[in-house]
Amino acid sequence: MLKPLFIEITGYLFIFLFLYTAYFKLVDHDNFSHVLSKSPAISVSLAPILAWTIPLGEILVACLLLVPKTKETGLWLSLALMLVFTSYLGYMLARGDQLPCNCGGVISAMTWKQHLLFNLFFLALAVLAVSFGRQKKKSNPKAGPLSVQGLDYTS
Amino acid sequence: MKKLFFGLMVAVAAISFSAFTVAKDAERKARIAAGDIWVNTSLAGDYEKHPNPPAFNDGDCEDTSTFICAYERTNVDPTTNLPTNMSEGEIAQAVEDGLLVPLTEKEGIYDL
Repeated sequence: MLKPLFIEITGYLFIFLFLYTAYFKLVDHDNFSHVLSKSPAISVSLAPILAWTIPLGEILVACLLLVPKTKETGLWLSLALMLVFTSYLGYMLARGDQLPCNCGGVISAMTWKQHLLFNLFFLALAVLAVSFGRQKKKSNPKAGPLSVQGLDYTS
Repeated sequence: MKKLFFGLMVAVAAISFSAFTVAKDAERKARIAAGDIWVNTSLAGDYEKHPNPPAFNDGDCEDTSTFICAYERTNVDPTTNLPTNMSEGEIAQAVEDGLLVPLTEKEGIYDL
């Protein structure tokens, strides 16, 4: 009973997180692109492309999480996005680069270490949600994605 | 259907919260444009008056020191002129006198 609830809440948390941060990246698009272009991990020519694909990707994942039938895909993509973001943060911290993070709203106010912890927390949520979904799918293979003991998440 | 509806509510809340934060930020930036600001320029806590306050962007606060990235001038005692360059101690005194307030919660050297 707790696992489906956990998956459900994690989905809502990611919808909130991705839409909240995507909004800032689109509204302050020029600044976001400028900050990306200053990053040693991203080439100057790639920065403008990423400045669009990152927020649009976040919106797409939020939409997938919204629809029960695509929630499982959305959780997998959330996990992938968090892995990419967290790896980037880890790389920047390891390099000792202290570039500003234009990640949106209250998240931008965090230090890199706080940001890394924040990301690790969400990464852990995504890992758990995906693994709970897989466990239940194995125990009930006939059911739809993320269905749990008769509670079909696709309905 | 309930889940979809609840998800949409969460989405609307996220966008509303973002919009609110953006509006507050714009308000703060408009206020900054009217006044002087001092930015952290060294690991020792030295500060320098920003040559162009409207161009201030807290995204340029590099998380490199433990000092608040920027302070802004308040309306207290407007006849008191503050020096262009100030040490950490002078900034602390000005804050105590109510002449300056932190402009951002961010710490670090500002990339002027």
